[in-house]
Amino acid sequence: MKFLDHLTFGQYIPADSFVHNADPRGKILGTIILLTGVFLVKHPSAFCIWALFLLGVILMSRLSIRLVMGSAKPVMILVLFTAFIHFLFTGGEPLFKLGFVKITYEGLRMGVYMGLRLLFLVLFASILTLTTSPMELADGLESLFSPLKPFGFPAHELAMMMTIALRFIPTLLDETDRIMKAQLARGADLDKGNIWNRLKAFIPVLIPLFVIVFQRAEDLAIAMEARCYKGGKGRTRMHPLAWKYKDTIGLVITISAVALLSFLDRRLWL
Amino acid sequence: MPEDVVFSLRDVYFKYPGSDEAALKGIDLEVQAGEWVALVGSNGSGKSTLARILNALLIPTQGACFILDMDSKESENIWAIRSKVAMVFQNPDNQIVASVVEDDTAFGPENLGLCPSDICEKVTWSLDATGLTEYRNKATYALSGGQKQRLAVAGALAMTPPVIVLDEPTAMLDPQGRKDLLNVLSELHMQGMTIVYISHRIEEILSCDRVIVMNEGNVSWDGTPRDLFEFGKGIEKWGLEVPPIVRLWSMLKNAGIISKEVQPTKDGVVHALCP
Amino acid sequence: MSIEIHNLKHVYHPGTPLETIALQGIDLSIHMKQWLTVVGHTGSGKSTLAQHLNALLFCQEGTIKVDSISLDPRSKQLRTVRQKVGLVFQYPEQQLFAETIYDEVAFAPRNWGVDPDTVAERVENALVRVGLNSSFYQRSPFHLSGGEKRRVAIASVLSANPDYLVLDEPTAGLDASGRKDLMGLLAGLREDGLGIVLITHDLELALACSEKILVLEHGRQLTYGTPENVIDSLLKRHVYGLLLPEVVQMSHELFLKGLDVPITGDEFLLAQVLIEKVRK
Repeated sequence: MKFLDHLTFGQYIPADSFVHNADPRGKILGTIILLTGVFLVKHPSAFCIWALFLLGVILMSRLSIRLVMGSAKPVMILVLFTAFIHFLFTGGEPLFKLGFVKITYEGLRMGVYMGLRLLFLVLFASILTLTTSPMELADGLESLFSPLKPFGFPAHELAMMMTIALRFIPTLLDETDRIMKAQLARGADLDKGNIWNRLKAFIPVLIPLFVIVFQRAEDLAIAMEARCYKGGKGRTRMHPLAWKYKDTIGLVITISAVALLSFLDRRLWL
Repeated sequence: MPEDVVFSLRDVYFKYPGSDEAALKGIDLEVQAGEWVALVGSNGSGKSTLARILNALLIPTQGACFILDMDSKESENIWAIRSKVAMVFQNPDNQIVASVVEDDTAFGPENLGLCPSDICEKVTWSLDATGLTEYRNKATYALSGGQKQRLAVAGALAMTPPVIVLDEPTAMLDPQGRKDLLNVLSELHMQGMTIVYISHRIEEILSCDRVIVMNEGNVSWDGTPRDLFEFGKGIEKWGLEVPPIVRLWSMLKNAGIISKEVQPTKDGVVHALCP
Repeated sequence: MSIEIHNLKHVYHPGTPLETIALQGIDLSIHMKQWLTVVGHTGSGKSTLAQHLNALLFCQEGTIKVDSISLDPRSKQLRTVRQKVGLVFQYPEQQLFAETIYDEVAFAPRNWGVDPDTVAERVENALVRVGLNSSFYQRSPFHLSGGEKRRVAIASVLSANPDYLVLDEPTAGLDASGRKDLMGLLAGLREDGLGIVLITHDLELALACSEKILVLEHGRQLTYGTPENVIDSLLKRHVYGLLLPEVVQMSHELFLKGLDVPITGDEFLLAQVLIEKVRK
């Protein structure tokens, strides 16, 4: 059970809001565009506008601000680390020196920017996963990639794999926990010695886990066949994706905002 | 062939690839529409193999299997057979496809290519029939073992099949889960559904119309549960165990304390002694 | 020599929204050469209790002592405790990993640093105990039947020479003859001096061999005592009738309807009494 605690990042929280009800295809495209936008801007005031935009989306999604911010927690170390690397290793006019460490104005700026960009990236991405169920996300991706189907791209298969993987993650985490405990009870020492010894000690956990995964996969395949699954062909959906005019408006607003902001960023403020 | 015959097996043999011994050795069997048939036998008696033959998941290596008048050997019949004969397996965790109850229930009818409103109607009906309506939007992971198995039944029912085959569905459930599932099944039986129920728990078969005992790939016995218990300890040669309540019933019956018509159940015996 | 549990409390995910009390106020003692059966519905905390006995989980409140070693995450003697208390998980055949059955069963004694000669002796004893002879030593555990796999898995716990054996639903998925064999095996182990803790929801199976029965409900001790006391107490709580064997339920119903019969799980005794009564 203890593994599950770390999985709360970006887990779907059902609610009735404009963002929740939006078409997943629009949300996926919108998120990609926003993320590109975040990486295009260079001006400090542009980041403030992004922050306002983010706030707007959060309010529209009826999620609590604390929850969204909390979902960035697991990657905060990465954000700080990136910023720190830039502080240290960007050349330019030194602002001050401390022994062999020199901090430059350029470094400070780049560090803060990269950190903020990463932070925005995580926050926008987690709004997507917080407001879209895994099933919708898979459907959205399948539909977005379906133009590639004639070229042999397995859009349906990938989406189905994603659905099943998400369904089995908690089950397999429980399973791992159980096998680890069973081997501990048989006197296995899973956390002693160097890396090589530890890897070797994990063989009694990994082999049973593989056996279980294969057994489950086989059972599931038979069960799916028994329920008439024969691939994506001829399959319909209970909740088919329906693009509404609201989705168009949302996407147009997002695109215009990103375009305008990057235009302003380049032309006016620099 | 009359229309109310659901399964008709003639001299069916089945051998798994790579094994020396046939798992089924000449099964002759007919099941009528609306029957509740229990298939019992020890582990390795061939009962699970027979279940998979009934759903065209396995095709007999010899002999013929007609399912609702369709020959399972003809590959064009396979999907029609599977949509008519739904199947529930032992481990509920290994047959749930989706993360949300409603999405999982919809999986079958979606595969049949039905329109959204039909799917929705069938999902609503089957969740209601299995008592899972309140869990419709819940995560499948959070359900208990018994609820998961009822969800598997709901997923099978959503294809609105006339027949349902269950392969040891209660093996992993606790007494409460077992009881709930059996209640769902007897409700379905009353509505006219044909049920083939595989179990190695002999005490679960008392509510069935007919029992088929499998042993080493053969049908060893075929009749009503009551008649089966007339054998007493004789059923042990098939790897079956006489439930204590049935032992008590036959002791009382042999001593002439209760009449022959009394059912070998707790309620039957109590009622006979203290009407 | 005993396991003593006093006022045990275990909470999963303390301090988070997922916080659930798994066990609370558990008091019991388990002695060698004694049989304790733990019953309860799914989610009653049975498996959590099992993991406490083997120092895989630690309680937030209360104490557990195994042969007077106090179980505490900082204790240096946890490995000793795990050797003393063998734990057979649910579906233990899923933990098998070795290439041969010999290596599988030798895994535990080797982990405890037993010398090779003793390991060989332990493996032999453990496999004989579960009814597998030396022709099995070099076979792969993955090529056995379900029932044989389960026996290898139990042998692989017995080979550590535990004083107590805790089994979580060991009969799940076995057929009638498999269940009977397993119960016979456990009875034999108890005769040899092991303390047995059997976790199950099949009270019918365990009623005859248990000295003590613990019934858990939502992590609390519903009743604990001798089989007679526990049957009495369960019959008073209607919901828990389901846990009781049908013969017990029946004798109780007959008793309530005015027949003077003993409340028992023994169908022969009940039949005898009924036959005598009616003949009179």
